[in-house]
Amino acid sequence: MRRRRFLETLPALAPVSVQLAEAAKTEPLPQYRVVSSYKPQGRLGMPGPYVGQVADVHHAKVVDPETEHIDAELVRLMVDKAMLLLTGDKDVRDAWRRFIVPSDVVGIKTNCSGAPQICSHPYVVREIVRNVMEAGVPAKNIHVYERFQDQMDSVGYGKYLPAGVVIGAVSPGRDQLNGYDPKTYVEVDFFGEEDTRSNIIRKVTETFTKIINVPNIKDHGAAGVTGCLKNIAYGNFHNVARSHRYSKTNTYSFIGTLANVEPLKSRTVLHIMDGLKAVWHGGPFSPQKKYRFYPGQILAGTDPVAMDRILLDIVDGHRKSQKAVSVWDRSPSTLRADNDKTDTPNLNRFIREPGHIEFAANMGLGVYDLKKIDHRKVQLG
Amino acid sequence: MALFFAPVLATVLLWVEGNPQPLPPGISCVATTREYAPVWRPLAPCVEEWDPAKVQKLPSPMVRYRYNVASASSAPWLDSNGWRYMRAAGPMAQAPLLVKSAKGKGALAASEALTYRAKVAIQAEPAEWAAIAAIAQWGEANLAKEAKPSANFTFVDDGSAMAGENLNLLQRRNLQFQVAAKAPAGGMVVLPKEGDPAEYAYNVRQKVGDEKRLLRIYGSEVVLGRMYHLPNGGAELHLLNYSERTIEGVRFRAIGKFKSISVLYPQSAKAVDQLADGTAAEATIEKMPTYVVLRLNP
Repeated sequence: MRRRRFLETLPALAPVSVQLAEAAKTEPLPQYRVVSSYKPQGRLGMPGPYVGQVADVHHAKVVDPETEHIDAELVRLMVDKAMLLLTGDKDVRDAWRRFIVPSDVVGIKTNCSGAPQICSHPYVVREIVRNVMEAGVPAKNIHVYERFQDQMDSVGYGKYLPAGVVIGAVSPGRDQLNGYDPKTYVEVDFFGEEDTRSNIIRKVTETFTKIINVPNIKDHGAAGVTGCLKNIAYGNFHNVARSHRYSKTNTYSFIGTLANVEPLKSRTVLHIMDGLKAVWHGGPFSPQKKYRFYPGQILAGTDPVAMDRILLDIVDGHRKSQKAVSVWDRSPSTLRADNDKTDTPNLNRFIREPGHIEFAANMGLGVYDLKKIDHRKVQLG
Repeated sequence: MALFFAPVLATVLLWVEGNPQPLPPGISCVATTREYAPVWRPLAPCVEEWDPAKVQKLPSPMVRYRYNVASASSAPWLDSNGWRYMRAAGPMAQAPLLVKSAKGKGALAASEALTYRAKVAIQAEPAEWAAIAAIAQWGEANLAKEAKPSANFTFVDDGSAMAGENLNLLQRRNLQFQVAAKAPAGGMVVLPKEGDPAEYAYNVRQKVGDEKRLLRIYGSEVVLGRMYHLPNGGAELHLLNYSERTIEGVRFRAIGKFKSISVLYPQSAKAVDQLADGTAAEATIEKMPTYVVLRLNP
């Protein structure tokens, strides 16, 4: 049955957006072939020891909505509190030592796609580096990374981090295969593209023993939202933008498939979500301040699905407050394939796929059901 | 029609006109009009007289970036003469071929001629003659003298414009095939077909199956490849970079019982991260210049 015909046969009782979201689940999935010689290792990898648990720390004064100034000292308090809340430890050093040992080589996966306006804030990254070093890892074994050099350069992490920390993007340009592992990839043909491989970053397989993921809270024109899963998936593989064409995006299944590839799954041991600033429309980029908002939150967890499930409601809730269409909206009437990222929030360029979070849950990457998520919230100020 | 191992030679000539000027070493022949032939004879080892009225003029190879055209694809558009050379080497041999190369594309034009084993005259700025000559000289000295095109299928060329469009897209999709006037007795046969050539090429690709494609290229949309099987069981692989820049990492996968991969040209190129499992070989060209030739060793 063709998709259009199928949609016409859906029951009339449910809201249209729900009907259409359900329809997305019935579409045939692309045929993925995962090539990796790595086996699952240890118990810290996704979804990790704190399955279904999210530590969520809020401070009303950590960010000034007018100037977007961030209070570094409050960031420090919030990161510490989030780690204690997650682990139940009393000493923050004990909390970090649950994840990091001195012999580790740690990759800190930033998100710089919206930089410099929004990114894994240097103060947040600095706190992570400080704690990893206190856990005994020397600066030279800490790598702060992203895929593209120009995006990283626009942040200037070097000004904030201790000497010796390795700060570097995988590639200076967009379409460069060097820096990626030729033996570990996901092969799939979405639209008849010639290059059907998406290779993993070589440092993930050959250098890092642990990865700490530092996403933001953002709307995403294709994936619906972008948080832990998208940052760890699309942010660690080459040749991923090919998953969108016309109004169709394959983020629904591609994000979870990539995040599930070993050794990425086993080595990603912690997610610290920088929700100080956020994007409610136009993401993952953020050229316009009017589409940013300021949750003032730091979330921590080992379960990327549970964290993204919380993020989903934060973004969609804010969109609702702005009378924008939901990220779940799949209506053809709101679809404009030529709509660029700065246009009205009531038009979509792609049919968004926030269902990618539940898809990842079904792959074993975490807990999606809100009733089963232990959402531990603390208000610091 | 089966293609046997046969001498398949490329000949690169310089197209010259006007007042003669010194030629760089490595140019064995130039092509020119009857009018200019006498003045070039003292300078060139040999001079071919071509009738401009009978010459088929080909566009310069290059890449045109046309991103976001209807969002259909972000793939850049390649102007490649490969399909014309394949047609010329096949049953639909046409007039002498002359490429008027765009500025800076002389080396690419010469490399294309070697890749597709074509006889071509290249019209280029004198500043590019030395680069063209160097490639031509290297090709004459080093390309395998006996080879046959690696082919997943045979394309039956009826000489029509539509067949030309079909050929163009099949070649630009890096499919490996041979061209014949009529269907051979065995193997997969592909006939020309009206319609969208891109869709046509994709359908052919689907019929072959990606896992069975003799050559795959990863990491770039501006690199085309052509492979030839050799009598010893090895193969010669040509890779062409149509862009203006060195590409940081181009990977290929070639099906065959190859044990190792050697770089033939240029010496500075490196084929790293080699894999060979007895059914296929892979390697990455770390820094891909305009032209790389590799030997896949049995």
